[in-house]
Amino acid sequence: MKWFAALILLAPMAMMPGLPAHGQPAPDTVTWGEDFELVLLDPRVTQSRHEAQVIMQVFDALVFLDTDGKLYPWLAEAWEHSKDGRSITFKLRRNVRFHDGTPFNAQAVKFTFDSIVDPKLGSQAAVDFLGPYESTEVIDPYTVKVTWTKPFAAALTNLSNPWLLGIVSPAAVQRLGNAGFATAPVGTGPFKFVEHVPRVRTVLERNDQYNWAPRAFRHQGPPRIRRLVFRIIPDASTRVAALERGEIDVADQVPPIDVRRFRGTRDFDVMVGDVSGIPFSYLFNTQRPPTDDLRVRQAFIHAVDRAKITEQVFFGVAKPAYSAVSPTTPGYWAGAERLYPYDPNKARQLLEEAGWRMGPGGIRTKNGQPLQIYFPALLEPEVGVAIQAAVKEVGIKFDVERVTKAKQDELVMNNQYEVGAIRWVAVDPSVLGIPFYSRNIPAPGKFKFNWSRFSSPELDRLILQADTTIDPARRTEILARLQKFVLDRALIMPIHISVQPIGYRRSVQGLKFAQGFWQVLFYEASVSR
Amino acid sequence: MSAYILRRLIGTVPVLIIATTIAFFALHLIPGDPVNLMLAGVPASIELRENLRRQLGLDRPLHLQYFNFLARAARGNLGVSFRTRQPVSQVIAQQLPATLELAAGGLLIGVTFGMGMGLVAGLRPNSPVDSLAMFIAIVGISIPGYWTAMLLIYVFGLRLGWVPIVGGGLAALILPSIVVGSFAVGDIARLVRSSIVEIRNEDYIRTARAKGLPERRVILRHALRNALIPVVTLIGLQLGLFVGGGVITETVFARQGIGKLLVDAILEKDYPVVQAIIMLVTAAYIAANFVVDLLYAVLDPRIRYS
Repeated sequence: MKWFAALILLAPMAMMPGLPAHGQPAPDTVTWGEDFELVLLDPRVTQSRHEAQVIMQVFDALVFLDTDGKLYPWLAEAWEHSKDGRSITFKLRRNVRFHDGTPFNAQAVKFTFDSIVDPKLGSQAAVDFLGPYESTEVIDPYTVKVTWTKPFAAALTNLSNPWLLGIVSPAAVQRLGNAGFATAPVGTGPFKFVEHVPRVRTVLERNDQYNWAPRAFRHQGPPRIRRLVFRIIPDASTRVAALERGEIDVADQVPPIDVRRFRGTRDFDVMVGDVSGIPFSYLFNTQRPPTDDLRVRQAFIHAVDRAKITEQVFFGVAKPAYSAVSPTTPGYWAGAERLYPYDPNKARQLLEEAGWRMGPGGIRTKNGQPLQIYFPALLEPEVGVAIQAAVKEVGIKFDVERVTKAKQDELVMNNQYEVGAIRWVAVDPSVLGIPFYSRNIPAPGKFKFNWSRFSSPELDRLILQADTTIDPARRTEILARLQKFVLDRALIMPIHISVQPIGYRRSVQGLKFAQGFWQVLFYEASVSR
Repeated sequence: MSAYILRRLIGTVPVLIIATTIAFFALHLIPGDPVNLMLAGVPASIELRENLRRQLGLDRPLHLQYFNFLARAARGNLGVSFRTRQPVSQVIAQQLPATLELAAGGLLIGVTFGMGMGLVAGLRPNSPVDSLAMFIAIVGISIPGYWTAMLLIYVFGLRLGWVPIVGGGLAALILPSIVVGSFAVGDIARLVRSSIVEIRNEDYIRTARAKGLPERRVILRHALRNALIPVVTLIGLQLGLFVGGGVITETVFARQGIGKLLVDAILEKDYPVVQAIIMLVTAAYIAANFVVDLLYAVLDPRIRYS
């Protein structure tokens, strides 16, 4: 009897001895732990900055933009703007081949851009990044002229982006079809696609022919590592555990608490990217009370100690934000940092001026109405709760409700919110048009991003100027005026710069952030075991 | 018997149609546009969004979308996933083996430990062994899977290094199976225990002992077999749970699986995938119940189907 019970209890243990030894990682392989599912690996189709992580290793772009803002030749050796600012002529590099052996040339560039604007492809982002695209003209096999319907200031920045406007192999697209190409991509990049197992891993292999790396890298020629594996691990704790155990070498989106733990250890380190684009920010709805009153919006901003909240929520890993674009974005206006210092007394004074008197429960009232601001929180509700406590100090009741994306979209389209939260990774400051162009004010059935619902011809003109001014110095000046305009009117409260904390084993070296400080380039990576 | 099986099979068709119809309209009732959800936070232009909507056929009236779906499904074509742009059958086929593996692992753990503990406890009710087994059972039912999973990863993956955390192979199946199975262990153990407690004083057990059968035979052939009927019912119900409900385990252990696929598809309103999985899970439940009914007849010869 006893032995029988013991047998039943121990039966599953019989599975234990036959375990395959879980192998140590191969000496020239780097494994990246990715927090998101990877589905579409076609730069023309994807919208995901996670998929971008893979795509950037497989595709090259016409030009290379480094994180310091410098442009380098890449698939294009030289380029020239036309006088009217509407076209750029690119001289292409010779002797470049796609991974399928077909040659890279002017025809491939034309094919890539023309296919992006074809509605049949169903591009989810590249088509927007191509801007007011008109056509690509093949002048000779190694010269192309790309033309837009109006001057397009973001052209070179956008064309430098291999995860959206990387050049695809026309032969491979024709052979595999658009759907097939998205799970077996063929580019000219330093790594070749090998295998894609949905929701598990994507495997790349060194492109031994690669000798057209941009001069931004000290290393030239083929990559140093032989294999690059992207392993999907959605749960952050599991990702960190797998990194510590040695099952992966690099992990993205390491939680701030682990960043602190890894720093200064013998085996691990963390690199933190201050992401370019629009920082995590609140947009105030100017079409609904009480945020239709400028003084209420300004009081709200003065009441929040952004430096302190950022420190508390992110353990010092993220930095507070003060302008509508982050400091790593070209055209950042540093004057924003002095506009709204933390000053609760100023906030109280502004609210008094606006007629909001202290009422019961520490909440201000006016004409019997409490000073109540509703925020449907999809992004970063923990920051919302910290801000709720801060503005309560000056008598504002900030209602933070956790919502799904579907619910948020509904409220936004139907003008049923006072505050909305946004954040975007973007390399070019033209991203400012998205939340501030008056044509982007949402309407029922039309999901758009001008959530402050502020409409002014002056602001539209400034954005248009910034989008169409090719001269960098002049553009920077316009961008500064644009940032000052939206901050003076308190349409936006920037809160903190988005961060991408990458944890890695110290045995892996040569990781480099791509433009925008979100993705990591593995071209120069090496590993010592 | 074969007439019975045929009747049951025909009976599944309306159940499948009703289940998918409810799923279709329920999904359309909750707010949210599939294109906006698919684009997540991407600040895509309105033109881009409208182009995608046309491409996915979402610009067509709801009843047309529904009849299109039914007509296609009748021909065995489940459509194309909005998100991955691959045939739904392919998307599911990629995820199904992992789900079946986990279900098998969970079932193995649940049945062996659950029956073992229930048997040991039931044979000595109110003894310390019984109390211990029932304590473990309660713990298994009450502790959230997420927590168990993190704890197992920490102890056996990270600290002891006995099993891989996210690696492949049979070894990587052990911890997830324990998490999925621990639920079943508690349920099965409690059920087996109460059945055994009830049966052990029955006349036929006393008779079996009286005619001098070895104790092992008394328990296996006479007590356990009779205690199995409710247990088999429970396992049948849980099998469906394994197929659809592994989402937390799949997420924490970075596994493939239908559970996470379904949850993601619902959040993104990837209608074709949701409908296909609803059909699949419904069919799995029906099949499991059917097998359970057949097993009744095997376990208890008094039960006959005609």
